[in-house]
Amino acid sequence: MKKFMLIDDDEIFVFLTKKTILKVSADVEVQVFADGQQAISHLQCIAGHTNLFPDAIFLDLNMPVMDGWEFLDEYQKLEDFPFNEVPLYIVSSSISPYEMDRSAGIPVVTEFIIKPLVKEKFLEILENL
Amino acid sequence: MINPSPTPDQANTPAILHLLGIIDAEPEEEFDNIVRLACLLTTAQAATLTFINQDRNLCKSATGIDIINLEIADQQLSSYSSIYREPIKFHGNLLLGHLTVAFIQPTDLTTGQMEGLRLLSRQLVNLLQMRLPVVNRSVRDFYESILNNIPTDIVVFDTEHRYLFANPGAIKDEELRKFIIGKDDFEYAVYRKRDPAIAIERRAQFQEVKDTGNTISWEENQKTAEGNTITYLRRMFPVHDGQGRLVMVIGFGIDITERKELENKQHKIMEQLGVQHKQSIDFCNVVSHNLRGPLINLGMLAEFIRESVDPGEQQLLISKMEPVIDNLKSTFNELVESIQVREETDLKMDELNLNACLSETVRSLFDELKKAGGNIHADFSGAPVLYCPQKYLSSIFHNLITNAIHYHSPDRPLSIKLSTQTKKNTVVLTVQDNGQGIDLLKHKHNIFKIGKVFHRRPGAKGLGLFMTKTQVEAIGGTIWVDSEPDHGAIFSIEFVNQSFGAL
Repeated sequence: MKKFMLIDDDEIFVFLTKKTILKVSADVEVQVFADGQQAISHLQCIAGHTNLFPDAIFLDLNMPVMDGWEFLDEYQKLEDFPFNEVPLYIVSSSISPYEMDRSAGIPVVTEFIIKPLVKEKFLEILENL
Repeated sequence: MINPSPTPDQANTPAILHLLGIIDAEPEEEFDNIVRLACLLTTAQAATLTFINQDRNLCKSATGIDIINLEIADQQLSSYSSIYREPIKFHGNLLLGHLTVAFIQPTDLTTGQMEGLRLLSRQLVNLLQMRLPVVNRSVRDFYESILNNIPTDIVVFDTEHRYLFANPGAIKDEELRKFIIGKDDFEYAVYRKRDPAIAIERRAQFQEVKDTGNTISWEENQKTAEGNTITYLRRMFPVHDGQGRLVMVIGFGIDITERKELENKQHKIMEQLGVQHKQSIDFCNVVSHNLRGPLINLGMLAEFIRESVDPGEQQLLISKMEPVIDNLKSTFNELVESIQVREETDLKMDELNLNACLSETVRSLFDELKKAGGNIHADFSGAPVLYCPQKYLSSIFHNLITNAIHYHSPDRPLSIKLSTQTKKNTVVLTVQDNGQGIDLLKHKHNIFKIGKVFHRRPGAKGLGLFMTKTQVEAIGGTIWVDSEPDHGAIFSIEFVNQSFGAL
């Protein structure tokens, strides 16, 4: 079973994206975090357990408490960074070139996906894993 | 351009004599002495000094003979038996006239006497050359009047930092200007009973120029008697002779106040533009997130509804559309409003009773306040009246109190304290709560930014404080916050131009 972390505060988007993902593959677990802080806490917990590692991370940028950028800062600072093999996709409603440029400069970011996360895109990601 | 001082050549011989002050001048002792020396040296009975004036010789000085007519002195000498004429040559080749000795008896000059005459002739030339500065007096006056009238401070120092020259731009008072020549800044400070700090600073600058041989420049502010600030651009640079030895140091300063003011203005505008640019990027990001987000959700919902065959699921999906549409509507309205605030330039200042305005806000938030167990205490005795557009103050009260309600601590009943203080012609309004507070170490730079949300609260869009700041700044005010996590927050707003009501 594949595990995906979905970090996004927009409940309706989370509901719809989960639905999309499950439509493509039933053999998938979607773990939802409403902000960067909660996601970081989770990642810190599982850092020692490779069997619990997510297969991919989907990260929104605009979130309360700890936004996507702050998350990326903290994420890269994780001790002995164990998540090198985990692809991280920014999934944002932003179409700002500034944010895309900024994300391009961050090595842990695999790709910048503009919302919505459509079936075809998810399928492609799944096949690349 | 100044006309170069005349260079003597054959063509203008008379001109130089005029310029040298020879022609049409009274008899002069220095020339008379040379003529007498020539007589004594050669034991001649008579001697004359004649200068060429156009085509005739003009007698400047004579001894042993009474000159009847200055222009025909040579003719008077023709009755003598022996005559020796020593030419007077300027610059080695320009014949200006003759030194003539005459003997009644036929006489031969010894080589010594001839040599003596030649030396006297050369001495005459020296004498004439000495007069050149006199010729150049008009040129000197010209330069001096430039130095004295140029709107620039000019000073010249010797190699020991003593003043050689100061123009009226540097030292206005003529007495002081005379006093300072040959003295240094320390003596000047003592004389004028001034703090030697400037003298110490100047000495260090002088030393730097002297040691490095480089020009130094700096900007300096000075207060005028009227209290205005004048900015000078000052420079100090060394002047060396042909052998590279330091001859003097020149200092000058020009008033660049106007340029400085423009520079400052430009700097402010650039800063403003920078802030506005940043704001517009933030704004675009928020629009893109807060408007595009719900639109994407609506699109996805529509697609799922179309694809769904289960009426129950369709109903569920439709029910999810309503909050998205509401969210979109309110975000849209808030964004439009914030643009309007920034576009409004001609704001009408209302004279507002703070208590009355607050009461209205509290009435509209009554239910929410009650739910939070809220208690509001207002003391506007420091400034009961505020000059501000009514809708802004209402919005400011509404946003700050709504925030206090939203982020009140679950551990204690909400308490909000409002007060005002008057400072000069400003009024500071403070709104203090005992809620969750904000971690300013982390969020200091984002607190008033559009789209920034610091607590987990559904529906928070990060527009409230952005809006408040926009409104405060639209009327020239400032807003700031003091807060610690779990110790509440104090928002302070300074309203400017509040004194006109008291006039």
